[in-house]
Amino acid sequence: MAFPAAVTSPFSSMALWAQTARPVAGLSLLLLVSLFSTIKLTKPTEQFASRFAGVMDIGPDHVTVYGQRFSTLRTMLLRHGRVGYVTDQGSENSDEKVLAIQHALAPVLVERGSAHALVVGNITQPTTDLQKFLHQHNLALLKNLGNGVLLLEGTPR
Amino acid sequence: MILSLLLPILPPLALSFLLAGLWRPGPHPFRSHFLLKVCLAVGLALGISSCTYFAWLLIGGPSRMGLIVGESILFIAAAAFLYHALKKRISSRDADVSSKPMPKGLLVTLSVCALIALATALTRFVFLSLAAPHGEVDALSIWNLRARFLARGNEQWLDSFTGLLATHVPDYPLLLPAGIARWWTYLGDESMIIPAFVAMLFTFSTIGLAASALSFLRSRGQGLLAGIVLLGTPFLIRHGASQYADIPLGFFILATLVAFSLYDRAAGNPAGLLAMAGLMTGFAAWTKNEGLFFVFVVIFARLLVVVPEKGWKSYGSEMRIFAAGLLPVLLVVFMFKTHIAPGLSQIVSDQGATTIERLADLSRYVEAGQAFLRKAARFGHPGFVVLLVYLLLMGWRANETDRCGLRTAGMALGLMLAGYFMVFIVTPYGVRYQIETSLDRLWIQLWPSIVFLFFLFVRTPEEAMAESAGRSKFDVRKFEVDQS
Repeated sequence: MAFPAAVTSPFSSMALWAQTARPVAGLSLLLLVSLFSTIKLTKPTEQFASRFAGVMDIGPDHVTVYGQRFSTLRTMLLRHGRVGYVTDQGSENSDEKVLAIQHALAPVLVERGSAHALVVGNITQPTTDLQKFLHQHNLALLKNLGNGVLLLEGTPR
Repeated sequence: MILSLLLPILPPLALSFLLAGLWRPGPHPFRSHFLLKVCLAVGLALGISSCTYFAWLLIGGPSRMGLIVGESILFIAAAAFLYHALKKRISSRDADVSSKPMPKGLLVTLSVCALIALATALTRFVFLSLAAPHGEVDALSIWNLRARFLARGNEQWLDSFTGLLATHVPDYPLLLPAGIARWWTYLGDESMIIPAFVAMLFTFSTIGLAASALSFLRSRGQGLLAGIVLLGTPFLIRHGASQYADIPLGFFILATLVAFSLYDRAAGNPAGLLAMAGLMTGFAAWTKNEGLFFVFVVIFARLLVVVPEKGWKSYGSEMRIFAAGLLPVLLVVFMFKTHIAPGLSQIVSDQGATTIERLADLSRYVEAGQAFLRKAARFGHPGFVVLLVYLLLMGWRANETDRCGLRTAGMALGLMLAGYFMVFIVTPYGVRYQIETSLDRLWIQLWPSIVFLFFLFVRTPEEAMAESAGRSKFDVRKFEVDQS
């Protein structure tokens, strides 16, 4: 009896093999790509390894640092309203830093400049001449809270 | 310590768990399909509690004790009612699929891969959260900052909050900030773990929801695969840890589509699932402005699916139940939009005579289209290439009972993508700027739902393996008969 062509021909064997192999190939592809992407989550490897080795070594982020620096000042301010903000360092006037100070002092609104009855001073340079700085911004010192944090009296518009 | 941190979310979570189980999936009122109900309950709990907190601020002011007592009475009474209702309903609505058994080797392989992916993603999430516990820029300047204003504002919460709204994107809704502020108010402390934990809940509940819903609707293997694909989407994990609102919005979009799919599948079409779809859609609108667009999209998509198949009457009765879930949340959104942050989003208010010019500018379509295609054609997740190859290799075989759910999800996602595309065309900020600042985020909002839709449609590994094994046996048998 002749063998049925569907089974005996090399083409049909290949077709049968392909039928079986297709789901395996599909699953393997999906799993490999997904797991490779998962591994990519651990990159850069060195950074990940060092962090993995020392979770506790991760220093506090700048928002937390500012929160701690300005926590005493926050208790002295009212629970609403606006205050001005001045600093002796250009980089401390960046959006990122002002946002961190806004976080620390909320719900009081912080606005750049000295045209407010109360102004927050952020002094970061040890060489800054405080008197000259206050004079330059037309401000009077109300309280020096240490660590470069000042409560100042400004001139509202 | 951990229990005291979790305490504020436990009452709404318990209530939401009972709500999520009202349609009785499986024979046991509490244990059956536990993961699916827990994942749905997480979103419901955070949504409900943010609404009650916001309502409390409007009605009763920020008294901490008043909030705790008021909410406790409300949640316990509602939970007791639901518990009683669940216990009383004896008839099981088990709509479980009798899926083909999975070969043990395959089950072990998929489970191991899923565990590896989960462990890696969780570890990465924790490290990212430790490195930036307050979240990335938008989380800092919008969501968490507003949470601080709400939690710290005392009697003047509205004054200070309105002042903040004048300077920061005014009309972003409050699901995340109110949810976090409520948690802080309960604790009496602004623990920075809370926003990160909320982000983690949303990220991993999204993955868990897609996986458990597909386990229910298709097969266990299909659920595991969807989970592995989502866990293997690095941007989903990174963006989740950044504490932006896109992942929570993605959760609510997915939860809505899951609720509709379960409704279309479940025996007797339990109304509770439609109401839950409405609630989830409302929470999407309470999370981000894109969610408001999603409300219209869902209603329209459902119209396109239900009316040709079942008629207007059926659509009307569906929408009545859907609205019962949706309207209470929309009322909260309406209160916020009209009384607290009136006005339109800048991207809408900046439209005018030049909009027509932008709409007529072909180069904008080309630029946006290329960006969308590049995003879709990415090899790896989130992208379509690997999924397309997988589809070609596995084939597709959606169940007849999933047809409505599939169409609803497909229509809704298609309309969302079309809507986002048109935003890129009419944006007053320039197409390039919009692409660079928001395409990734918009894409990741829809990605979990795209994965859900894909695995609802494609053949399950169990089906593919069983069919190829069956075919081999058939051919060998045929060979033996012919030999004899």
